[in-house]
Amino acid sequence: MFPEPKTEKPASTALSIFIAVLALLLITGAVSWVYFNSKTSTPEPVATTVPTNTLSPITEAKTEILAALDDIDNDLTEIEADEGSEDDTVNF
Amino acid sequence: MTQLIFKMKKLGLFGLSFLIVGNLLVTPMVYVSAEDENSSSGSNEQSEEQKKAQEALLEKAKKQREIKIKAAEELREKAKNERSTSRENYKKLLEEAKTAKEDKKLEKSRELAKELAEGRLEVLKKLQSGEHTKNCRAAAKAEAVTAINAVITRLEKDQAEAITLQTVDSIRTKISDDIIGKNHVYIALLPAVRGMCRADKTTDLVEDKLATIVTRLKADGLDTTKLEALLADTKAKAQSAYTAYKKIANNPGTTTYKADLAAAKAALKEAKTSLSAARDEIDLLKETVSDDSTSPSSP
Repeated sequence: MFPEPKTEKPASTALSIFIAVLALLLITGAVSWVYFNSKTSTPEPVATTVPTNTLSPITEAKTEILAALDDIDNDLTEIEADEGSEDDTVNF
Repeated sequence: MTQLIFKMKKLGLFGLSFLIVGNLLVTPMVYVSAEDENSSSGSNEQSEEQKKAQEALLEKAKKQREIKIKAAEELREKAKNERSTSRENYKKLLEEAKTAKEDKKLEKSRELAKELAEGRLEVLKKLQSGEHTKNCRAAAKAEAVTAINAVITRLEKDQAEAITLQTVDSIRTKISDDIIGKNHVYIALLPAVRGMCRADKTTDLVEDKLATIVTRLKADGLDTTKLEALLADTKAKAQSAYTAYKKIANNPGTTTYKADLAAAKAALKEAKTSLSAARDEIDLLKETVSDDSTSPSSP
């Protein structure tokens, strides 16, 4: 007449716990999936640290030295032209 | 049989869950690694961009140098034309003084002396504030201007005296010994002042800009020992050239001015040679940097 008292089997309890853990992992996985997906779809703006108005020290050194060498050459030409000038020779 | 089916069901569920969990754990890692690849290719792009920016700036500097050289040539041409006009004037007066009749000879000789002094004074006044001294630092410019002013004072005195002289011979002596001989404006003073300022500018470059650059190169871990030695040599030679040119500027009428100018010019050329060697050393440092960036990083 009376229903038999329900005695849960240990295997079915283990299965319930296992499914619960699985569900938790599923949620965690889904959340992390969404998180990483959103991170790749909207990438953070990369800081563009390209120095657009400064030269590297090597390039700058070369530029400065080349300019100075040109200037020295130019002045040496002028100096030689002056040294050979006849303007200080007056045959009077 | 029932037990076997139950065990298989459990095993199947376990396998399935293992697959799901494995996937869920691996997926984010795949994304993270994909992100890393993206960022590494981004840094490659950035370094390419940096290289392009450097090349663009180098090109700009090259164009500026070309403009500067062209401007210097134009200035030289202009000065040459001005000098040519002045030269024509004095040649005309010289001819008139030579061919004038006796009663006009003294007057024409005075005019010639006045013109010769006037032409030199004009050049010197331009020199004080002109392109010769604008490259000098304040101290060097002050020394150059002192030397120029001394010549201006002498010339003004000579000019005033020349027009009071009573004989053609005394005017002739005044021109050759004083107006020209004591000052050598064109063949000694002008090159001396130009040399002073170029030598000073070269010293300034080494002491200021290049010293800062060497500090930056050192901070980047480069060995700058040889470069520093070459720059020190450039500075020593430039200072030597400056001293030699200053001596001439302060006494352009000396009989040894030609030899003094040659010595000063040799020192300036030596400074240039050292600076050229410094440029070559910079090229070597550049190669070192390129080699480092292309070689695989050590484990």
